[in-house]
Amino acid sequence: MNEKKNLSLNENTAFNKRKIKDKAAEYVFKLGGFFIILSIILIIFFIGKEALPLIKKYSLISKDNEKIEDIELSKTVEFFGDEYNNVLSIIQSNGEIVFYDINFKKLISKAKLNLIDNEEITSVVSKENGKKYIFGTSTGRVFIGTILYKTSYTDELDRITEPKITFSESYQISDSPVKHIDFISNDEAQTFVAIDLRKRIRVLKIASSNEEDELFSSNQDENAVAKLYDITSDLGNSIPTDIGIYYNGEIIFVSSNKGRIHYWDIANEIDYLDSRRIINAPITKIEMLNGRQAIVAGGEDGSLSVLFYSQNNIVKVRPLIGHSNKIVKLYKANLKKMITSIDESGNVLIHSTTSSKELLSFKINDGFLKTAFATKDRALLTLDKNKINRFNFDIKHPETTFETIFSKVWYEGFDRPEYIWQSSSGSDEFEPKLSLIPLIFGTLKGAFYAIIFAIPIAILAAICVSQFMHPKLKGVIKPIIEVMAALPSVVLGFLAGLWLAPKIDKLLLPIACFPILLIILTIYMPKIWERVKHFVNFKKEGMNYLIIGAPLIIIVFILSLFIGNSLESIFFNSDFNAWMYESFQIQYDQRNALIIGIAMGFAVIPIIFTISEDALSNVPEHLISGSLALGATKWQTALKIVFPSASPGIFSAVMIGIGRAVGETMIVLMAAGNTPIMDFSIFNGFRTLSANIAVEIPEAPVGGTLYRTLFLSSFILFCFTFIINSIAEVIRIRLKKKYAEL
Amino acid sequence: MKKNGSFYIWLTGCMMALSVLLVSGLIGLVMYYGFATFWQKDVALVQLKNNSYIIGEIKKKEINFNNDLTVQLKTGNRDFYGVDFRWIKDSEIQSISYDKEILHIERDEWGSFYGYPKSFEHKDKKITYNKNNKNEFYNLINSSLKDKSSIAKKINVINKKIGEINFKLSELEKEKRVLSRVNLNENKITKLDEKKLKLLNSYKIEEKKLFENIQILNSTKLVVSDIEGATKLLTLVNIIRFNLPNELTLRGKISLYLSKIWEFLSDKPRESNTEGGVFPAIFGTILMVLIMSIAVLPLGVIAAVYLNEYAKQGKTVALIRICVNNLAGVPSIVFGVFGLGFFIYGIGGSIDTLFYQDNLPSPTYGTGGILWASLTLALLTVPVVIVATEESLNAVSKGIRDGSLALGATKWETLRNIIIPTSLPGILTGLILAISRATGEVAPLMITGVVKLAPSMPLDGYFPYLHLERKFMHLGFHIYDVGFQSPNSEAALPMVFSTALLLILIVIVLNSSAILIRNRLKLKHKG
Repeated sequence: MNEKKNLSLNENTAFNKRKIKDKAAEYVFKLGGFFIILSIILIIFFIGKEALPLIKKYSLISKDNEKIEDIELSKTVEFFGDEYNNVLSIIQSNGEIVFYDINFKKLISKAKLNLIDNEEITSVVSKENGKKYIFGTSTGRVFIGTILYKTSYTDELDRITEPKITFSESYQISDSPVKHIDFISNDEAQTFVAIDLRKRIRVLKIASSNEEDELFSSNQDENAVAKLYDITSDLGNSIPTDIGIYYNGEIIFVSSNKGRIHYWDIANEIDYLDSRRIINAPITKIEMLNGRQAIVAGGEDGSLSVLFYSQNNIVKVRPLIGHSNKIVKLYKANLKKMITSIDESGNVLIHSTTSSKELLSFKINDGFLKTAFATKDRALLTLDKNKINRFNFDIKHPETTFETIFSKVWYEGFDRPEYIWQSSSGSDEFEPKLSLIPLIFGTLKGAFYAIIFAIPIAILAAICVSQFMHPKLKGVIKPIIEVMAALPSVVLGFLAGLWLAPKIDKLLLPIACFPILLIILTIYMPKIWERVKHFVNFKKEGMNYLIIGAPLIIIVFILSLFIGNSLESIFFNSDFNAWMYESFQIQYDQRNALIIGIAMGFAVIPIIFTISEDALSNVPEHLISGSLALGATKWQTALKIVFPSASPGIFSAVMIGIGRAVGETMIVLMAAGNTPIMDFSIFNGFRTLSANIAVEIPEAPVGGTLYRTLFLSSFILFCFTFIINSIAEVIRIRLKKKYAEL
Repeated sequence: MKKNGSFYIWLTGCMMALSVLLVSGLIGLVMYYGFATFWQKDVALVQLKNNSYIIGEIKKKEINFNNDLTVQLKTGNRDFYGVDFRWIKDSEIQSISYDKEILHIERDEWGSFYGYPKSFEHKDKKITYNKNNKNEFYNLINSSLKDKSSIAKKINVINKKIGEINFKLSELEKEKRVLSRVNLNENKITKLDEKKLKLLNSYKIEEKKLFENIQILNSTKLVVSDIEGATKLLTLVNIIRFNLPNELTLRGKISLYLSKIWEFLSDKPRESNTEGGVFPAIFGTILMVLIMSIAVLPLGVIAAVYLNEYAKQGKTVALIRICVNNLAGVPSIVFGVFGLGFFIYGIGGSIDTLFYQDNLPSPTYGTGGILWASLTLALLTVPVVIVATEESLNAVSKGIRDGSLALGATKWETLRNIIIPTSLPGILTGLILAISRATGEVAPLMITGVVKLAPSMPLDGYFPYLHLERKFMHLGFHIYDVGFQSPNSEAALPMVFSTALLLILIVIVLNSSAILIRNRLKLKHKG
């Protein structure tokens, strides 16, 4: 008895243990499975999240102010910040430059300009990313101050910045106080342009003496040719309001109180070119964007316009909307294509000049004396009577909006709005052109040609294998074609790019002859078969296509090589490609859509083949037998019964094929030439979204605009293929149900 | 004709035949070029009509754009001529002969050498070549090459020792950095410095040994000249292998062929990957696939078991199933981008800031590496495993399940003892398919850690032996890199074909085995 009880007790505990194990397993699988599936699906969200900041709205990060007590600020002409916004250089009208550290709240040093008695600084601008200050004085002199920040670190790793400023010799540009000033220096000359208090426009060109001159002349300073021009008369009765110099130093722009911009060619002597009306109100400010290729003009009515200079003409590219008061200050950004505008009442707007999108707006306090824009585009500073206010922001992706990615944009240096992908260049002044349209176009173009190549071969072959072939033979043929699917795309791409492309370059016409001859062959095939079939005896249906068909196809291929070559040498002077170019201006790229069509077709054929073959051979047997019993031929049955009922399956096969072709990377990377052009010609190359990602993402700085744009393109790829595959899958599942019901 | 549709039937038949031809043609092409790489062709001595001579292997004949028949010769001697190949008009050729004296040397740089021997100097012995002492001459070179291999072994040992010393030194440096940051005591640091001094001393000794050995190799000199009489001095270091191509018998050629294939499979690449072997790439591929399998198998199986056995079958599960299925069709580059953003910059970056602060700003895990590449591929292939596993779980008949449950087994026991064992072949098929897909995939690897030339393997003799953060080489990427990024692409082409062949063979073997297992399985279930 006792023993038995013990046993059952043991059994009980054992049973409990088993039960616990069972429960544990259940939880592990449920939890694990759920999380695995969830995390797989979360991939899409991660990719989307990385792309999201591209279209994010920006706002001020922070606002702070510092009281400054020991410096008289009311005499400030201008002030500037260094790249970290730690050191301010405050330029006073008496010629004193105060370097002030905001972080440590202390004066670092003072520098004194060499001014004549009673002379005052009347205007200062900062050039070359804050490395140079151009000064204009009340006696009409101009000179350059070059500033150098020496940075060192303390033991506590605090940054200590020591500014040093050196001055150039001065030039007399006018006899009255200089109000506006612009400056550019290049290999040939240093050019100052100024407007003085009496509204006269002066241009001063100082030809740089190059090295050769230095060798021959002992004291080159005396040889430096300074030429002074006065161009006020060209303006007629308009009054100049602001000036700017084009990037090459050969064109100057002057805005007027009549809403016009006048421009001169100053390459050699000074030639007045023309003027262009921009707005119906006086232009108060103009600012050259970084790179000095585009101009932003601000008017008394608060309007802002982006202007390009192209083909000796000023064109208004796009307006920037937002102000309703007179524009008093414009600041270009130094690293990005942005413009910061301040109006009379202290409203600050930051616009992207590529897309005209308003990026950020805020209001600065009333009663500001002066403003300054930080060299690294991360802050705006204002100066009150006794304090400095700092408005911090970080606009990471000003160049992208939904429009710049998906519609035509008029970029600097272009004649019209265009779709362009050109992501990077060496300099900060480059305007990134991130339209995904050329890439989407390339993707669809590649997929289109691949599908065109693959569909006839794959579907017809599937019909043959499923309907007209002995099951045993089918068991051999199907895996052979399916092996194609397993071929790594890098191998296909390499063969296409390095083997096929040069071959087709030479044999374009013969290859073009092949499909025509192949169709002619199939027309005669039944007749040939009639003759031959008495001599051979194939036990398995479908064998004849392989044994008779395959060799004939090879013969036809060789024949087409021969015919194509003779055609080429007889009619096209042995060079069909050159003939095409001369007659039709059709450019033949060695790596083109034809190559991709064939190579990617290779990758797609087995997919379409397998899925359509499955759909075709799963058509219920009784339908086929019924049709045959009613006297229909095998072909009639295939065409009228089997094909229609399997057509959803074939459709879904094509969809999946398209999905594969759209996402294929290595083949297009290696054989499509990768030029992001939009030309549907079969003989041109293209660049796809996927290849673009592979090419550009290793070089894209993490978190930058390009990086996020590439994430956006993978998001698009993901969604596109996912939707296509889902549709195909749903169709397939429905078909399965339908077959089951039949 | 319309009624019986014989034309249309033949059309389908021809397309079927065409696709079979395309597949076999492609594989045949790769095989032809891939296997031809290692075959030593006869080397022609071409006499031109202007009485000059050229030595080279005849590669192909083609009609060029001027409609002239031209011959492509692989002339080698890149150090003399700047290029490996030369095109000559057929009409310029006076005669072609196959001189038995022609010597072919595979070198460690500048590609192949074709020409004539002049003299050989080895251990104070110097022979000047003439036709009478041919045998003696080449025997001497052969024996010195044997010496070379023994010296090379010695050098290998020394290099290994130097590697160990370097490793210890870097460990010491790390320790020192940590100590000096914590500022514990001077004593320890001086001890470390002493250790370092000792290590540096032994380093110097080993280095000296190394130089001595290299000196021996360098003291053996072979002087050769090309057909125009320009001479070149080669030391033992330079010579990989030599032969007299026109004197080789068929047997000699076959054994040379086999030894070259062995070199291809087991050696490191030379000459910016265009010569030598692909062993590091094979190794990298296998290791990556292994790590991937370790990750993908449990993930896939657990998810499939959940979907098939535990989840409530309904619309949600059907939807999830479609999603998982479709994930297999999402472009691989998208997974690569995910891997880059999530694994490398996300997780890798955090690992670096948490555990590898000392090395920052140079990243340890925050850059591409074998672990991230494998995990990315695991994500890419997990749908394959899920689908295959579900299929085979489904195939386990209801009778068996119910029988097990009826006998009192719990669900877990049924699963462990009945269902999973029966569906094991199906799971295996899924895994093999996943491996096959991962082997051929390149695009996501390019951005998650593959490099053209990895300085060190991800698996080696230094602790912790498996270096998951290291970059690696991969067969597929090797094809892309050598074919498209190599400066001398024409000379690199044979190598690319061989690598492609190897890759195709691996993938086909994997796939066929998966198909075989699946077919067996189907038969078994039918039975």
